[in-house]
Amino acid sequence: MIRAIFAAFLLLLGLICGASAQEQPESLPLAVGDHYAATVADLEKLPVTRITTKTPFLPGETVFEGVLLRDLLKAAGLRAATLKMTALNDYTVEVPESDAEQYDVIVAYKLDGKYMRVRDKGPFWLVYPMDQHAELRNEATATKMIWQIKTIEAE
Amino acid sequence: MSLPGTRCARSFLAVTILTLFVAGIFLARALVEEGTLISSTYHQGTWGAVQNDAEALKLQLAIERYRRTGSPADLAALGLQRELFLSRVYFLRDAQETAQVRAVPQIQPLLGKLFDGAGAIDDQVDRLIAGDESQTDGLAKAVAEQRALTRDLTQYLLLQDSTLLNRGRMLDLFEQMIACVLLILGAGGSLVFLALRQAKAAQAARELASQERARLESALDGAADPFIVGDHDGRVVFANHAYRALLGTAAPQATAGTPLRGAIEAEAERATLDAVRQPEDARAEFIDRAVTPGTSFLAKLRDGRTFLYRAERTSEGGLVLTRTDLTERARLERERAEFRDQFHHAMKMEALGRLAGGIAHDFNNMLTAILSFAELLDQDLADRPAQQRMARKIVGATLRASGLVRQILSFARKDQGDQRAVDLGDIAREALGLLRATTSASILTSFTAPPGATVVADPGQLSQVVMNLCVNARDAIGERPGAIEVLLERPAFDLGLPHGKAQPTARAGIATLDIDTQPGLRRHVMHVGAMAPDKPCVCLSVRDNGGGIPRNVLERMFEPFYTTKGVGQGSGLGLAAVHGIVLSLNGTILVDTVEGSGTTFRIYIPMAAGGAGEERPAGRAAAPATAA
Repeated sequence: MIRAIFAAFLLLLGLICGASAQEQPESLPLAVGDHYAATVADLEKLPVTRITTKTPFLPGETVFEGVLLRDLLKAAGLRAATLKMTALNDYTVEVPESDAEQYDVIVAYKLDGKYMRVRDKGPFWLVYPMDQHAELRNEATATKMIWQIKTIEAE
Repeated sequence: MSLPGTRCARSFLAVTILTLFVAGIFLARALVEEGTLISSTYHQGTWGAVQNDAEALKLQLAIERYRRTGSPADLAALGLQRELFLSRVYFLRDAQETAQVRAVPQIQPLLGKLFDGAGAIDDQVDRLIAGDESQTDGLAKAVAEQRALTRDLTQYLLLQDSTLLNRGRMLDLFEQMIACVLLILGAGGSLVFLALRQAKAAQAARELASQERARLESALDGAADPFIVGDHDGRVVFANHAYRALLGTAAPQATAGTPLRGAIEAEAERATLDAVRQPEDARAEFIDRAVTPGTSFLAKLRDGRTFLYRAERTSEGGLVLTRTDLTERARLERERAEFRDQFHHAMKMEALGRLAGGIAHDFNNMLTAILSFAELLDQDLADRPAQQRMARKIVGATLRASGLVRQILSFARKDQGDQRAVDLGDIAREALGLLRATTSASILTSFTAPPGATVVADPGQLSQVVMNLCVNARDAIGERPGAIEVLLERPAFDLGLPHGKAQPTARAGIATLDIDTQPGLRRHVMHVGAMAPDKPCVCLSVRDNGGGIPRNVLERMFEPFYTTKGVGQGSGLGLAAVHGIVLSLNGTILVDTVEGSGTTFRIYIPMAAGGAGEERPAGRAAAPATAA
């Protein structure tokens, strides 16, 4: 019995971690504020925004799909001048909320039409439209483009 | 004292050095920051390798944890950590950010092994999650190898960044530092050179100013009138020697830099202030008047001197306070008047001498004829006694007239006589013997003489000198009891003045000194002649205790025909003859008289060469004084 349960858990885990990027998104949730958590499936219910841009982290031009950060914050009811974002490896950055108002900054969950696995810097990646705004093509912006976002909090 | 230009140059130099110093500090700080920045600069993407190493370590720890517990949660955590590890591996492999890292040839073999090994680990984790526990040890070993790879990769990149990559920039930085140091040293050296040069010039200027000031102070110090100079702040700038002497020996109040008022207060203490008023008021008024520019007033000091106080404003707003010693000025003016009188007197004596000498010579020739004829008459009238007596009276009168002529010629120094070495003591003794015969018994005479008082002179003239002095002494005593003392000695030339009084230098003319000795008595000392003080001499003193000589008589008594005796009692030629004879012998006459107490005549005559000895002929012999 115990063996059967353990085998089922492993299968589930395998489904979670080893699922194909093209087929199913990661099930890891994104916590926004203290009272909001969403999976990729939840975010897909919000309006989708696409950004085509080059980044320092990938070769060539890439198409990102995701939800606007300001929409996500609004949905989560989180208001703060500065947002603290933490990655799965506990790396953190601080992002001014004004960036979300000034630019179409998105929380991407698809890369070139495919869901992003953790190994692909997913499941959530903060993406700035660098090619659309020359002033964003710099090291400071690249630093704020955090991968594998785990939480978004008010600073 | 420093000039304004020097102060400005010093300020500019100080500001420049300070600016250079601050600039040097800022530059050094900037270089240090640049060095720190360089040492913390890495290849773009090196951070990805570092994160990869960290994730590899975490993966290694996750496997170890799962091997210990075997729990599903740790297995799930292992799976997630595998994903994170792979995300960093793919970042190294694919990202634009890590292109520089991948381009380093030395690490490309390591990267190849890393990428291959990552794929194997991915498969092993999948199998472990699928339930194949046999993968555990192999997975742990594979992850350990990966961890070793990531560590080597990271260390190599960091080492290369800190050496190869940054070496060029560090060299550039070092060159910049050298350039900055050289620039600072050059600028600093130039400033030091300028500073030393300026300091040398300033030192030379100070020395020159000091010398000029010393010369000026020396010149000012020698000024006869006391004065003191104060600046516009009321402080002493300079006080000359006379002013310091006025205040006292040390005169700290007159030291430069001290308050000028202190010196004025010290002066007020030495002044005789108005006795009617309160001392404080009089003192305050003295001080106020002394420092008020444009004022002048007289004040008498407690030592009896009277000063004229004057205050003048300087061009720089200071004060020059001058004191003029009117007492001293009055004394000098009195002395000047006396010298003028003496000159006129000497001129008068000279004129009288010439006149008398000229007349006496002609008159002497006439007397010679009268005497010759009178003597012939005396011889021819031997048988007529009455007429012969008259002829002899003519002879006697002529001889007396001849004596007067001799006196005149002696005064006029026309008659040098028969000069030879003679003992003045013998002559004085002989003359005194003749005097005793004509002196009343109430007058005591004494004579003291050492042997060998030899002088070169005409014996008759010397006898004339002694006789005239003794007769005058006798007449000064008159009918009263008295004493005449004749003393012959060989002293050093000495005017016999009290100690501390100035000894007048021996010179031609007459000097008169007033010396108060006793209350109510006036002492006068008169000096005639030009004998050198250090010359060996014989001094003949004739002292009486008569009535003394008043000053007005003293001043004229050597004039010919001046007499205080009654008509027929004196010719006024005696002392004139003494004057002429002694001065013709290069001697000196000193008259020391106290009114009401007596008079002493001292006759100084140079001693003959060789001193005492037998009478011997002199160098020259003159014609007889008279032709009679």
